[in-house]
Amino acid sequence: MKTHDNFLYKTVRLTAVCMLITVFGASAIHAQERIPAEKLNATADSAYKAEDYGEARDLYLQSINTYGPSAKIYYNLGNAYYRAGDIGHAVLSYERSLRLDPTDKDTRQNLRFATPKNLPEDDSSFLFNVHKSILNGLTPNGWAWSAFGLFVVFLGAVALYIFSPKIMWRKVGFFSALVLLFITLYAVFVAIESRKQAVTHLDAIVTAPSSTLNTVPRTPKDKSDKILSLPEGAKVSIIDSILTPEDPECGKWYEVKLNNTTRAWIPEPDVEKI
Amino acid sequence: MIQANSQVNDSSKAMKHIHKYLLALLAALMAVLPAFGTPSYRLIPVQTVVVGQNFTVTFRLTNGQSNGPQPPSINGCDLLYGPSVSTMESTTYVNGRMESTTYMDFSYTYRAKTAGTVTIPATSVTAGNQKLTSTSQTLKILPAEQNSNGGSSGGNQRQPRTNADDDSQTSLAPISAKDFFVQVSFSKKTAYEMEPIVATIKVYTKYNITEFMANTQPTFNGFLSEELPVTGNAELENYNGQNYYAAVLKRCLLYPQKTGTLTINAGTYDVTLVQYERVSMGYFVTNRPVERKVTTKTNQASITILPLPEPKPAGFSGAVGKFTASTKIEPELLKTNEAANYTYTIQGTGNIKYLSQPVINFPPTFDTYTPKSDIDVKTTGSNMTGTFKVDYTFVPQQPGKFTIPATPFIYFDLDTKKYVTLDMESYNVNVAKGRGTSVTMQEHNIDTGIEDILYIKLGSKESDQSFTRNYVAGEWWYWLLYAVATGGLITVVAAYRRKLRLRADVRNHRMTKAGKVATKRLKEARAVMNTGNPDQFYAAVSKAIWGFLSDKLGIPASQLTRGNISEELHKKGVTEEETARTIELLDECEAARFSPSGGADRIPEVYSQAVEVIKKLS
Repeated sequence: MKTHDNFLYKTVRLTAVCMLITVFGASAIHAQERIPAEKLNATADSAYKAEDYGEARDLYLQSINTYGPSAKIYYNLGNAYYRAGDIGHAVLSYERSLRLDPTDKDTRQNLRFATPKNLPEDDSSFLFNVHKSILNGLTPNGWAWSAFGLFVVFLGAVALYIFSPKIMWRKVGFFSALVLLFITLYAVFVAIESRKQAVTHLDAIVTAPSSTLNTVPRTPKDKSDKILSLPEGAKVSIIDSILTPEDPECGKWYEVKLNNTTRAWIPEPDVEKI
Repeated sequence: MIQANSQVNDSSKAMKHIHKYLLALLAALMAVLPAFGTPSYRLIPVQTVVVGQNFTVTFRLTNGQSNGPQPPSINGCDLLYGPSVSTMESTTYVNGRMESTTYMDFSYTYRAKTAGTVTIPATSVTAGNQKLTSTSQTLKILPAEQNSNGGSSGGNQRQPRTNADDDSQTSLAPISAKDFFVQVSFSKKTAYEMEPIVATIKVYTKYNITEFMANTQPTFNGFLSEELPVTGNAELENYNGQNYYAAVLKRCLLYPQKTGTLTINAGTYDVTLVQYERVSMGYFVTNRPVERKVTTKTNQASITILPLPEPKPAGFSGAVGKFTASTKIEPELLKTNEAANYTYTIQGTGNIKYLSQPVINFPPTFDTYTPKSDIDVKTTGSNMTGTFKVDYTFVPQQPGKFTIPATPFIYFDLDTKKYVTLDMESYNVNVAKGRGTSVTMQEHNIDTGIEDILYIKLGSKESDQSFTRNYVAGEWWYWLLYAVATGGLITVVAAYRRKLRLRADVRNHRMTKAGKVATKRLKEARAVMNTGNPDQFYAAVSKAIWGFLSDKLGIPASQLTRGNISEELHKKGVTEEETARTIELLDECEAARFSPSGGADRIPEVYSQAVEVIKKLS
C-alpha cells in the first residue's frame, strides 16, 4: 500500500514537472515570436510611408492575426490594399473597419472612393437610407447605452407625470413620456440592429478581379445563362448557399442580393464575407 | 558653238570623254551666264589623274581679250606644251535683244609624274585695263596600277574602262569582281549608340556602264538614317592599288539605335556594262562595243555599336553629341486664363532630329497642352547641326506664386565620352488675376471631387485590438437593466402610494379621536383647577383646544394660526358665532396666562366653555 502511494506520488510529481516545462517552454517560444503590437503597427505604418505597400499590407495582416483586429488597422490595411492595386480587398478591409466602428467618416470616404462605379443601382428607399445613416451614427454599444439612457429619461417623464402635484407639469410629463416611448423603442430597435450588423456576416465583397453571376447555381454554359458581371469590390448580401459537388469548377454557390430587385448566384471563391 | 582645239592630243578616249563633258558644261554655263559683257576669268576644274597620264589645265577668260597667263608650274608635273588658245563666241537673242559672249580658253598640257596631291596655282591675266585672277585648285594624282605593265610606253598608260586594247575588256574575258563591284563602307569601325556614322555605297568600275538598276537597296536595320546629297559624278580613284572610276551611289548619315554588331543587308544591282570586241575588217582591227548584263551584290559591311556607358544619369533621354540649351517664358507677366509659352531650345550637333521632348513639371493648377516641336536641322558632312525647339503652351488657372522647376538637359559628349548636364533656369512666376472667371477650375472641383484615398491612421495601439468584442445589446444583464429601472420606478410609485394612504389614515383616526383626546386633556385641566395654580390650568386648557383643532382640521399644530383656524372651521360648516367663541376662548386662555391676576376667578367659567366648544365641534 505504501509503495503504491509512493509510486502514485512520484507519477503525479513527474507529470506536474513535465506540464510545467511544457507550459513555460511554450510561453517562452511564444514570447520570442511576438513583436509588440505597437512596434509591429509602427513598422507597418513606416512601410506604408515608404510606399512599400505590399510590405505594409503583410505587416498589418500579421498584426491582425496576432493581436486581433481594430478599426484603425483595417482602415490602414484597406489603404495598403488600395495602393497595391487590390481594390476588392481594399473594399473588404474598409467594410470590416466599418463593422468595428461604423462612425468613422474617413473610412466611409475611402470606401466610397474605392468602390467601383459601375455597380447595379442602389434602389433602397429614402427612409431606409436615413435609417442606415442613423444606424451608422453610433457604435453598437453607443446605441445600446443611448437607448438605455432614453429609457431612463422616459421613466423620468413618467415619474414626473405621476409625482408632480401641479397639473401643468403632469401634462408635460405625460406627453413627453408618450414621445419618448416611441423614440426609446426606435433606439432599442436600432441598438439591436446595430449589434446584429456587427455580429452577423451576411454581406460579402467580390474579391476576384471580376465575377460572373448566374441565375442558377452553376457555371454559365451559354450566353443565355449569364445575367451580370460584377467588378472587384462590389458588395452583395448573402441570402442562401448551396453545395454543388457535381460542378467541376465550383462546389459552392451563394445566392446573393445586389439590390432590392436583383438576386443571383455567385461562386463562393469569388467573394469574401465581411 | 565651235571648239577649235589646236592641241594635238593622242587619241585617248578618256580625254575625249572629258572634252565631251566640258562641252556640255560649257553649253550649260553659256545658258546661265549673265551677258553683261563684264570680263571674268576662272580655272576650269581638272579631274583626278593617274601618274603617267597627260592632262590639260584650262583657264577661261570670258568677255575679254588677253595674251594669256604665265604658265602655272605644278609640282610633280611636267608642262608638255601650252598655251593653246581657243576662242568662242556665242550670240543669243532674248526678247529681241542681242547679247553676245566671247570666251578665250588658255590650255596647258601636263604630264603627271608622281602620285600625291598637288596645287594648280592661281594665275592672272590683264584684260583691257583690268587684272583678273583665277582660283587655285588642288588636284589628286593617283599612283599607277600595280599590275600595270605600262609605264614604259610613256603617255600610253592604260586607263580603266577605256582601254579597248586590254584583254580584260574583251567580250571573251569574264567580268571579274575586281573590275566591277559595289562597295558599302562605314566612316568608323566602332561607334556609340546614336553616334553619327556615314555609310557610303560606291560603285567601282573599269568598264563603261550603260545601265544601272538597283534591284534591292542595302537596308540599314537598327539605324535611323538620313540621306546625304551625292553629286553622282564619277571620279578616278585608286582602290587597292587599282585605279577605278568610282561614283557614289548613296551616302547616308546613320544613327545606331541598337548595340552590338550591326550588319547591313547586302543590296543587289543589275548593271549593263560595255565590253569591246575585237573585229577584224580586212587589214584593220577595230573594237566593237558589246553590252553585257551582270548582277552584282554589295559586300556585307558590319559595324560594332557600343552601348553608352553606365550609369546613365537620371533624366538622360538619349541625346548624343554636343549641345547647348536654353529656356524662356513668354510673356513675362502671367495672368490667369491667358495662354503663355515656355520654350525649350536645344542647339548643337548630334542626333538633334531624334531628341525627345523634355518633360516640364508645371504646377498642377496650370492647364497644359501638347507641346509642339520645331526641328530645323542641316546635315553637314558627317553629322547634323541645328535647333530643336519645343513650345509648351500653358494657361495658369489660379493667381499666386508658382515655381516651374528646371528640367536639365543631359547629353553624352562624344569627345570626352562623358555625360554633360546643362542646368536650366527654374522660374518663380507670379500669376496675376486675369480677366474672365476661371470656369475650368470650378469644373475641375465638381468633376474630380475626392481625388485620392485619405492617409492612413498612424500609431494603432494594442488596447484597440481584440479578437472578441462585447456588444452590450447582446448581454442578458443589459436587458435586466431595463427591468431594474422599470422595477425601480414601480417600487417608488408603490411606496409613494402607500405613504399617501397611510397619511390619510392617520388624519381620519385623529379626527375621529379628537373629541376623546380633548376630553382627556380637559380632565387633566380639571385636576389642576383647584390647586390654586391658574397658569397650569390655562396652559392645559389651551393645549387641549389647540390639539383638538389640530387633529380635527388635519393641520399640524405648528402650522395652526387663528387665521387658518377660522378659515378651516368655516369650510367645515361651523357657524360664525361658534368660530368666534372658540377664538375668544383661545384668546382668553392666552390673556389669563400672562395677566397679573392670573384669571383665577374665571377658571370654572372657562372650563365649562371649553367643554362646550369641544362638544359642539366634535
